[in-house]
Amino acid sequence: MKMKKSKITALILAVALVMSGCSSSDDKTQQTTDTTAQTSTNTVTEATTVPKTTSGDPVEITFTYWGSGAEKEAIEASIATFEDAYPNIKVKGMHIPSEDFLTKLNAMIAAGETPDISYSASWKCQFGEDGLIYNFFDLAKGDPDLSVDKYLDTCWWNWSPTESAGPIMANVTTSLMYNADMFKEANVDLPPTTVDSAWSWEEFVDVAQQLTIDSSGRNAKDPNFDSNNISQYGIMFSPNWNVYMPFVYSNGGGYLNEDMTGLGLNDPAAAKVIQNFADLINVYHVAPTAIQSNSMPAAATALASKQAAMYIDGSWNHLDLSKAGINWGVGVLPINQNYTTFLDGGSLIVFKATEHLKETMLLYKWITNPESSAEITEMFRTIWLPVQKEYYTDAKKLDFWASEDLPARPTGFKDAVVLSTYENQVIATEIDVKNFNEINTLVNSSLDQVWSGDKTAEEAMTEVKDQVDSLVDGTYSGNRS
Amino acid sequence: MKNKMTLRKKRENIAGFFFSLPCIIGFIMFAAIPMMVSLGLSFTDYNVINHSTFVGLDNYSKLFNGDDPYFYKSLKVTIYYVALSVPTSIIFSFSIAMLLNRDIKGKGIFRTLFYLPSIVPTVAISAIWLWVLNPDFGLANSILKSIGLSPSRWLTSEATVIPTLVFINLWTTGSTMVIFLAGMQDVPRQLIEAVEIDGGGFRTKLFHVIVPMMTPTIFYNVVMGFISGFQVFAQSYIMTSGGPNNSSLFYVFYLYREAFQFMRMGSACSIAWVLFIIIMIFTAILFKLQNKWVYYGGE
Amino acid sequence: MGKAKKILNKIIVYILVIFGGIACLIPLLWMFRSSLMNSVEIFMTPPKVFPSKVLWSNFTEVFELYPFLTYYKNSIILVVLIVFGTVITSSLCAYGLARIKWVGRNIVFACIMGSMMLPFAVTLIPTFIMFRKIGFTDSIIPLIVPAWLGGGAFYIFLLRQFFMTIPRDYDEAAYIDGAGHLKIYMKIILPLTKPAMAVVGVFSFLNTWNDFLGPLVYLNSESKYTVALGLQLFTGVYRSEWNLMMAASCLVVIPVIIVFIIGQRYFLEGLTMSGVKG
Repeated sequence: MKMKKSKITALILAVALVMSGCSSSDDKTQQTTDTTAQTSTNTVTEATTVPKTTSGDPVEITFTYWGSGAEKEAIEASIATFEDAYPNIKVKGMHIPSEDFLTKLNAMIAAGETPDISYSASWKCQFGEDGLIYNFFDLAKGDPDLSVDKYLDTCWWNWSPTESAGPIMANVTTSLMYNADMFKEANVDLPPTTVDSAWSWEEFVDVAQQLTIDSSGRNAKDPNFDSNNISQYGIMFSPNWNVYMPFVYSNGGGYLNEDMTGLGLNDPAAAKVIQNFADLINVYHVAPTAIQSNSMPAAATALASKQAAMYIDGSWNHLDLSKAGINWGVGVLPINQNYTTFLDGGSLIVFKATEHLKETMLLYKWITNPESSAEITEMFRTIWLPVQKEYYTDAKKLDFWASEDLPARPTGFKDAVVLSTYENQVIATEIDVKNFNEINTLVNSSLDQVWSGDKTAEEAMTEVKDQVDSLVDGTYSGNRS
Repeated sequence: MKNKMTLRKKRENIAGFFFSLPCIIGFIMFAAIPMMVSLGLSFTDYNVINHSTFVGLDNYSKLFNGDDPYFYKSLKVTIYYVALSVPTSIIFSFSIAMLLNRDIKGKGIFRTLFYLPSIVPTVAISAIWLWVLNPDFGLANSILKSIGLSPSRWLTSEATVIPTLVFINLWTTGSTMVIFLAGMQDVPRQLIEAVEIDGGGFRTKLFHVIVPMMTPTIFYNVVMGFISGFQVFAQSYIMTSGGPNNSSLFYVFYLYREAFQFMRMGSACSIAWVLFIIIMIFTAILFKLQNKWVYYGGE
Repeated sequence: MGKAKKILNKIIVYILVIFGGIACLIPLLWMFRSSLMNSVEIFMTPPKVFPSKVLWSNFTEVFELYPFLTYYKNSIILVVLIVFGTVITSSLCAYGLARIKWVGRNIVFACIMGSMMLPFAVTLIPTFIMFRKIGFTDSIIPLIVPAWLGGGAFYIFLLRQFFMTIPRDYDEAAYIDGAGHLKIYMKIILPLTKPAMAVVGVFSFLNTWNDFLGPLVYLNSESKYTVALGLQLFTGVYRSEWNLMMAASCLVVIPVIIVFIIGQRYFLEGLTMSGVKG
């Protein structure tokens, strides 16, 4: 009975495949010539370096991903151009809600329906350790397109020094964003955009005080300032590792301690930085008290409605800011010594379960190319930073995505976001620290007491240290993070 | 005569079995088998993507000996929530149902209105609540300030987060209210009229007729309140992520995180089975106590 | 009771009902208003009651991003098949558990109660794998079958409670007249418990309509996604398309409101039936 059923389905499937192959092959090739003529020269060279027909039979690849509406459109458009270039490959794109992504992926894997290629967050390292995904270094061997030194050095999701889940696909960094009109109203100079001229923390606090205004119009430097009735805050920040870690690194601290056997956030160099952030809320009253990410307005809303004049959070906010119709800008982080920051983001992973590795790798290259479709280029011009070195070193390529003439790029973008990051990057905490997801869950909940002013950073981090230490297992790179 | 009785008994046994057959099959397939699987997995370190290895009682002992930083905390948080939310939501929705069961014009419209908050998708209503209750910019605190009361921290302080979630929960008790309404339709009119003729007031009607007649429905809502209260999940998942400082770390949220974020399905199964036993004990107690106060017309 | 007091009572009742009704309406109106704004305006302080520019384009954008018409179709198919299954089989089971005295009944009832007590998170994957082993891949059948096999403990327990309130004399009399259990169930119990049946119908509609986890796990093709799953696609940590999410929420809610308005008539209908009882 079961045999019969599967035979019939196989038959139907075969017929369907043959039919779809026959009917569409003609007009598909037609389309290919059209689109390749239109897309940029880069795509043409890529498309032509690989033979168009990899094998005789049509092949289907499953690609699971998450993301916003714009991201979905970008991925779909790139899949379309890909299918045009390789008519014998069908890509089944599955857009999955990001909150439930791992649930769905786990279910698929458990049922033996593992996708061929997928978006991935920090859990990918466990997949790597469990032997579920390909080591990117193996895949890249002998393929000049994927040569390891084409990519930025800090952007690798490795699960051991010799095994990698690949470079970041969608890069973001920590960014200081501001509403320029509010600076003008308060008669304060705009934040500097170059690392050399960056504010010290004290200067930063001073500016934030001038920009924090109570309901009677007094700023936070005024002795009569009413901290219970603030109508405009100088600064808002999301209370996450990606915000405070650049400051911790710059101050000589680390997420882990020197010998990487335990938490490092309780050490004075790191705790001082976290305390500085908490003091913005509880001592200087220049930042709002509710900073749990769920209840906090996002950067675009906060700056546009003048709830805050400055905002420190990930650069993914740039797209919304550019749409908000306000006079916004970016500055370097207020770090005037040993400026250190990082790039971070998800990457594509290739599952060992794939039966079409060659085709999957073609898709991998296609999707990670910032020029594979107009829509994906738009993502790189609004949210993502490229991961390939040439987009930073080659002036023309840099202008392609970072030119300040582009609508979503404010003045100073190249200095404040691109150069400051490119020249001062280390590996992002999330990428390097083993067990980061679990450790950070503990750290985050403990930090809630610091933000609320109930405990000092040192007290809270020392308290949670014992629990954290049992989870600490060093870093993937082998260096302190 | 005797023969007839046993014949009837036999028939009853057969009929009862066949009426319940669909749900017996359903229970075996969709509850018993998965439950047994999860019980088995609770003794392993299964992570879904790999083969499981037997670890004995490790998962359980880790919970009880305090190695797991969240277990006791989440249990405490959840019991606190259940203790607050079950009575408030029962009393609240019963009162609303009483109100809507009166002879008023536009009953249908009002019933729909009162049910509306429970049908607004959780993601949308959570966004609205987060915005209203934001301590710095939210509407709730500006209103409190304008009438001279001191503002609250609502969802952002350890002391107020659970009471706030209980309060938010009142908005979504529409389904409990609907069940009460349906139950009220079964209260015989004659009994209420009899009280009225005897000159009994509202209280007599409520406590001597309506409440006693509705005990099966009340019992249902109490039991379901406990079972679903212990499994509350969406609120902390969407609104608070368990914070601040784990003060809204609901048990099932913690379990879900263990299963699908930390990928420890084996340990998640053991956490689930501990909850299963807790709920079972509570429910068994409730069922034992029902003889004292629940009145079934059909018994 | 004095007439003045009665009128005063009435006024108080109306005031409570009207104010409560408005309080309940606000979240919905707020959602609708937000669906017509840009994503920044939604969370402005001081709050804006009306959008500065009405953006119906949010709705068209939702339809452009996701095939919501297909989602509606899928959801409706699912709902129809599930609601019928649930109402029929859960009431049959509840009858078996409430009105027939048979040997296994307490054990079966205890098992059904027990099935509600284990969190979904740990049974989700085992059930899913079971269906895959049987051979259902990317199919709605796994979502429907449970509805036709009892429909869920929640409904069985609810109906059992209602069935148990009906006095025994009714079926005893019918039994003496020679009626079998099926006849008693159809002719006596069902008509007497219409409000409860309507409640089960509405709840199972609502739960099916809003469930995204089942469709998420069982369905692979986007062309099979449901409305609730479509809405879920708008959520996420770094998502800021609140306006689109609110628009999608409106799309999810509208059919539910219509169904509830129809369903609540049956809650009222019970009123006329109750004269027969007691």
